[in-house]
Amino acid sequence: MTNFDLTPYVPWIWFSFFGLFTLVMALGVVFHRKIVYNAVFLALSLVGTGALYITLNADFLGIVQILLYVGGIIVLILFSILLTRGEERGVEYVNRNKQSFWAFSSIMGLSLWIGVQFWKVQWPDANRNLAANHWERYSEIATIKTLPQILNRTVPVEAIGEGLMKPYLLIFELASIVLLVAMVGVVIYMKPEKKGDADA
Amino acid sequence: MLNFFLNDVFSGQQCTIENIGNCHFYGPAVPVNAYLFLAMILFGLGAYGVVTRKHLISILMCMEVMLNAVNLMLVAFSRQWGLASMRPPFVSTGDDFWVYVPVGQIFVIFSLTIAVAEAAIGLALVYHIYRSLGTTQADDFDLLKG
Repeated sequence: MTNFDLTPYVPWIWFSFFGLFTLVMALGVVFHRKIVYNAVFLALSLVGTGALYITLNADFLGIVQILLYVGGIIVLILFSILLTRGEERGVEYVNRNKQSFWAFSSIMGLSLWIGVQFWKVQWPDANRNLAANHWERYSEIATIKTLPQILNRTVPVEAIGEGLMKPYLLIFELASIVLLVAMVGVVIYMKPEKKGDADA
Repeated sequence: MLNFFLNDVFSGQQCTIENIGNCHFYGPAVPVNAYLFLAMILFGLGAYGVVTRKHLISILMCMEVMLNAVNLMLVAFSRQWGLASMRPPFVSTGDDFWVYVPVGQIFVIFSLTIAVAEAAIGLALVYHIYRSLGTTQADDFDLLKG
């Protein structure tokens, strides 16, 4: 009792806490009947996922997740809820009938089965072998900065930046083009129709 | 099953930089399997919501949950396989060496970009549909029913 050391269980405690939080909030997104509550649950679920990223040594992504989703997408969703609301108050938003039970059982059964298969796999620990090779070959020049995972450190933002700018530059540019096209498309799409060809 | 993981994770020796090749885990970290399991449950929940919900914005929100589950998987795998080889086209040293390239996190950044674009276009579509048809219930869209 007195010798019980909680230290090795701390990652499990964080994981369980934030995982359960994310899961419960996702349940709220899927099952709650009021749509504004859905948006709030979604925001909290995304915050929980950002915390899970931080437990995975990806601090930068956690911060980006919270900034982008909670600051951007949730606001967008709330505004569109406010813009499209008004008439269907009192309407049942969720299908609850015999088919929904079977949909729930089959989809959750399938994903639980896949999850159990994931759980059973002994994933090869690529990092360990690569790090061993690295250490044998470059033990005199190896620095902590090149081996953040081994020392259980946070992934440096420079690594993400170098990855974006060196091997994945083309995909980076393509993603920016996709964003530009989406923005221009939305602007053109939401323009009010001219008076001449207003037949829709 | 839990016993297996607890033994494996917590009874191994602590790793230092000297015995990194021999020790089993770098530290007492949660294995990637747990994250994958959680992400599968989240994905299933989101898929069920997409099938079941009737309001269009609710469907979009459930799609966000699914995207989020996939991003979580990518980040978990990035922790597992983060080290990548940098070969001479990308480095200037002439010899290949191992550096930490968080490929999964880079993919998550791309995925976030696509998610933002998808949300913007989807919500614009929802608003346009609402303006022209006056409803946002997915059951009311039967223009192509004939």
